[in-house]
Amino acid sequence: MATGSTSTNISELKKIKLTSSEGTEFVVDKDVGEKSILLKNMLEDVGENDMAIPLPNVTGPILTKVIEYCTHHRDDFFISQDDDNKKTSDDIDEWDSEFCKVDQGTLFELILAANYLDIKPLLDLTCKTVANMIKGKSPEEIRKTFNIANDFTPEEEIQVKRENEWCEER
Amino acid sequence: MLLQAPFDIAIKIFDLLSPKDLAALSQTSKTYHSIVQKYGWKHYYKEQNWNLLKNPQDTKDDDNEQDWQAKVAFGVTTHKNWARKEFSTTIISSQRQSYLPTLSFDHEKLVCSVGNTLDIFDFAQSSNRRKKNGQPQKINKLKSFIAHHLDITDIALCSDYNELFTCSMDHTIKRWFLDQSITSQIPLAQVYYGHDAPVHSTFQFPYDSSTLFSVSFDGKLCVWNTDTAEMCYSTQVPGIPRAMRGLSNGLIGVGNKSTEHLTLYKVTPNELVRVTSVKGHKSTVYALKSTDLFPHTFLSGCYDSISRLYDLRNNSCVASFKDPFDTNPVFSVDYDRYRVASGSSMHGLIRLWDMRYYKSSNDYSGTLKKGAVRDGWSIFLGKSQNSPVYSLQMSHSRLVAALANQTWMLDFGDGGSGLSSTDSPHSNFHRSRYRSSGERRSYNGGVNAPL
Repeated sequence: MATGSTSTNISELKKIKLTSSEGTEFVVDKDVGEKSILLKNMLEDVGENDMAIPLPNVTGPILTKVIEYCTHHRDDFFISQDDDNKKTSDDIDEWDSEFCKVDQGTLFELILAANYLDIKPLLDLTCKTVANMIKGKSPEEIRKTFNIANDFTPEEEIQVKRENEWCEER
Repeated sequence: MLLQAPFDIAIKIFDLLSPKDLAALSQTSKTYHSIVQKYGWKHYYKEQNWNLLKNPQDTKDDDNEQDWQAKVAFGVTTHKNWARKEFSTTIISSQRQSYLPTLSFDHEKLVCSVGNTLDIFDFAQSSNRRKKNGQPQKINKLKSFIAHHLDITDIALCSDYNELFTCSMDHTIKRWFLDQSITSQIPLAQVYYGHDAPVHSTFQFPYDSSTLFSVSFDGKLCVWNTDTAEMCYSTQVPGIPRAMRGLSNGLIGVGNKSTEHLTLYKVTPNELVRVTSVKGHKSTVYALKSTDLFPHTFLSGCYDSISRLYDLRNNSCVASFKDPFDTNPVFSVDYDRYRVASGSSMHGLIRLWDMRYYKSSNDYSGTLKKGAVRDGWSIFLGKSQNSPVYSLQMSHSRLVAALANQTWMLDFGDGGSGLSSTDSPHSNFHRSRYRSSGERRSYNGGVNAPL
């Protein structure tokens, strides 16, 4: 994409500073940072400025992951997915699925960070990853995956099972 | 982990799950059970756009107390039955040979015209509830009376206002109030005089009860004021009209026997303006449908045997549906977000297509038009006769079709559980249950009803 690479060349000169919750400073290319709609809007409002942008909701390790994601996808046009397409969670590419091979705590924090920083493709990706962890599993398998304690009494469990019988393949 | 996520993120994850996954999740613990019950099913249900008929008086639509799980269960079960081509059949009425029988139904009643007689049936059970104890569905004939001097040609059922318009070969349109009284006749409110020829069809937009449209065989398309019963203005359509229908963006479409085949009109406060003729048809358009469930579209049924789906925004045909084994004209059509039904002019044949693409056999939330398979199949109703399917209407679970001397109801709602002819409270109701046999081809030649 000719236009894409020119814009990259120009913005290569521009860097922005971000501060994680621990106070660690991160310097990223402006075009990478602008993958976050929150930062993009902030930069537009504030204008050219050398001040570091504080991100009190995002820890250093998570911010590193987010920057890794945005850097990998820096030349992608983040097109908002049309409605026809949104219901599927099995269209994750190889790099993205490797990227999401993290422990559940990190994955959850990534969801929150993507939500806070308003990076829709990352939010979609992480939600899809969680959905894929649920998909096609039995209740027992889901409990194991997410470490959920079964607090149903045996009677309740039978009742809940009966409640959901209709969706079993007949 | 899901629990700690903000609500909108949980919803985003629910969005990607199938009913089966939601069910599994709800069985893991009490907390998950309650969030799936409270939000999961409701969200899933709202996303589906199922063609479920709602009671307009039902204002509890957004009430959290509703049994969303039951609604999803009904919707999904019905979906599976459509996919398996499994349904029960009921012959609602058998009558003498009739010219142009028509029908229309809403959440509680079915109105059929046979000759000059109007029959009103009661769907005793709501269409979105699971049947209790496998009780067969009861369809009671509430009323039957002579409504016009000559044959009725069309019915416009306006359930929001609990009224009904009929038009007839006797040049008149009549407005009826549908009250709950048990008398054999319903009150006649108004008679609309002004057409100089038999009236072919009549239509009212659900959002505008004060305006009625009609078209007569002499090609006059009229706009009526329903309060004063006066004809406001009219225009001449090219050729003999064969179908007339309001489309989802407020236009009026008229299928006609001329070189135009289908002409669109815009309604303005004091005239009907011809907008355009619709390209693509090789012959007269005999049937038209438009639905709010699928805005900016309409479906046309043409004499050239093809049903076509149009996008009104650019007036182009986006999909066409043809039965490779049947070249007979299309006499009636209906559709929703995922299905197309078209009634043939011969052999009581109904052709059905699924517009969506199934990713896998147990993914019932397929999407539209992405390399659509258009799984087509057909049902022969009444082998012994050679009747056109004059009129048909489809909801999420039911398909009702009017043939020359029979009115059929196909119910995909509950797999025909507990249905047999002996269960039937009415001996003239023939019930049976059948499913197609043989392998799934992209087009199944047809399913024969065992009569």
